Amino acid sequence: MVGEHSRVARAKALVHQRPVGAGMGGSMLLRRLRGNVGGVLGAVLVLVVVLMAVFASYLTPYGPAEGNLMSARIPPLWVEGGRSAHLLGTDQLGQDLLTRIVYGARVSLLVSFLGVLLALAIGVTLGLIAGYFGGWWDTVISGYTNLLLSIPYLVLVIVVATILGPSLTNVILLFGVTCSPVFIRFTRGEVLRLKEQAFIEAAYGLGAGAWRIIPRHLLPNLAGPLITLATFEMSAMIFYEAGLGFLGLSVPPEVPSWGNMLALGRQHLLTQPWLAIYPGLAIAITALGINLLGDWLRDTLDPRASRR
Amino acid sequence: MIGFALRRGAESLLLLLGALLLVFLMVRLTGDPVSLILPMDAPMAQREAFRQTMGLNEPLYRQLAGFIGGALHGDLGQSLRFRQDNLELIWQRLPATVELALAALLFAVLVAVPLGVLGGMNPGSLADRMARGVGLLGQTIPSFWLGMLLILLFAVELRWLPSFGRDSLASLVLPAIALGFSGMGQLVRLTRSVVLEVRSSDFIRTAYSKGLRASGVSFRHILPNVAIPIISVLGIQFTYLLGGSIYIEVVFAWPGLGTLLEGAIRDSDFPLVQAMTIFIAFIAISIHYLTDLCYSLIDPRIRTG
Repeated sequence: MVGEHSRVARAKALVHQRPVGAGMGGSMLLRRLRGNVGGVLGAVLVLVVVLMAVFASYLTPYGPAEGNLMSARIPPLWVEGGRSAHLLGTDQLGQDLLTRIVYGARVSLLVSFLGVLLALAIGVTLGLIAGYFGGWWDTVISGYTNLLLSIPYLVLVIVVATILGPSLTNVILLFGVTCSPVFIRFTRGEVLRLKEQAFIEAAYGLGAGAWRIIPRHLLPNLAGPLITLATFEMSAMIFYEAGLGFLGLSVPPEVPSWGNMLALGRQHLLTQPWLAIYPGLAIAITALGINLLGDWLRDTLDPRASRR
Repeated sequence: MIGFALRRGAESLLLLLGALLLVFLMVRLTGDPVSLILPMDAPMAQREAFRQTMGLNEPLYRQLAGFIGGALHGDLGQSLRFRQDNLELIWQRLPATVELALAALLFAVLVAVPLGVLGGMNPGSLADRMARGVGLLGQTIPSFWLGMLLILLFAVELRWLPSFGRDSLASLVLPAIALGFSGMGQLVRLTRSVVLEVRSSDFIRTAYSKGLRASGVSFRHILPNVAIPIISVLGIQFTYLLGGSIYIEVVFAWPGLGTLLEGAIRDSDFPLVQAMTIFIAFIAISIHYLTDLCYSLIDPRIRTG
């Protein structure tokens, strides 16, 4: 189908696009990582953000909601009026910006990781059913997929978030369900393609049923591209969550999330620009790390890449 | 050809009905619409009166029939805040958003296609590295953050361009760049990979083996074949930009559909939110349909597949 919706098309392009000359022989993942500058950088960035999220309370001298009106609106250290007690400055309540950015990593990672996990679970299950059993199953599942993909994604997410109301659980559920079509389409397409191949036909001819073919033959072949796709979706989801927070539709406003902080930054853009600059930088660095890691995973994990 | 057009038309109509059903169910099944629409402290009498006027006491299937029937006649209900037809409000704001989205698309294409072609034709060159860099940046920089950075740099520091509103052509520049940026990244990646693919295909090798010069092969054989997939994604890019414009319009106070939707969400003007969702879904489905038709005119293989 040509009118393939941009998100799915992009996802496929990301997963299947390989640089010229890719396709190293099979060896250990870590040994491959050593020679790849982008992959190493991506892994380091992601690791830093994960550590930030996990050890937020040990890394920061302040609490995430600890404000002191005496030290409100302080600019970053290197700007005139900055203080060494607040490296990136403070907001209008005197809350330390760097502390809140470190805590904000928790929301972004939690939402994107659990959201992708849920989308993956829904998407792979429905995609396998549609692709493997076909017929009536396929009609219903593909109809559902096309329907969700027919509404521009950002609009769909905004409307559902408005109805559900702001909470962490709601945001995770929302992303899990609305992102599942990307995984459904991908899994379904791959299953249809794999089913035609000789090794599946051979397994079928030897009398193997669905309960043997799906876990033993289909899933291992799907795992690599799916992990890659999930990585890219995770980075996209960090964007979507920040966007919802920016409109006040993600987690409740008092929770330090990068999106909520950007919403505050927009209100004070002309007087306290640091409130908008640094949370956005945190998003950009995280997304860069995940994308570099994803590029490297795609070149390494894809079974077709290593077979060539 | 006509069979293809009819088949895809019927599919699109089904999708539209599905979208209407989805919006209807989302509002009805996730709780009482009255509590979504009216303020929390509204007295019972007011709630009951509201239920009556909105027809919420009727059986669900009657409500659904009325809702879909109205939508198919172009009646998308009334806004609570503006006390005006939703569709009228949408029509007033539509030109500003279309203008912004088209400008963003233009910016994305003008940067992405030359860069992607140059990069794809010369793998490993400086242009290629730039193309890959731009492709990566498009995926790592959130559009609304970029918008704020552009305001800080070009409107506050340098004072070159206005930071908000829609007064002159100059006020279109910053929002269009911010909105088009991530699409530009996607287009660069697409263009580059399509050029790489076409370059290594058999008919190009044949063209070279006939003794054609490199420039002849590029302009006569490679570029036309690169153009088709790129043109076909432009329509889809446009619907994507319509969604993305919500954030950019909020950043730049651009008087389009995005700021209308943001205001409707803030004021809990749920009928308007619902109407806008349906309208945007309708536009997106129509554009997908038209794109498919255009594509099948250019490339007959699509019609049978």
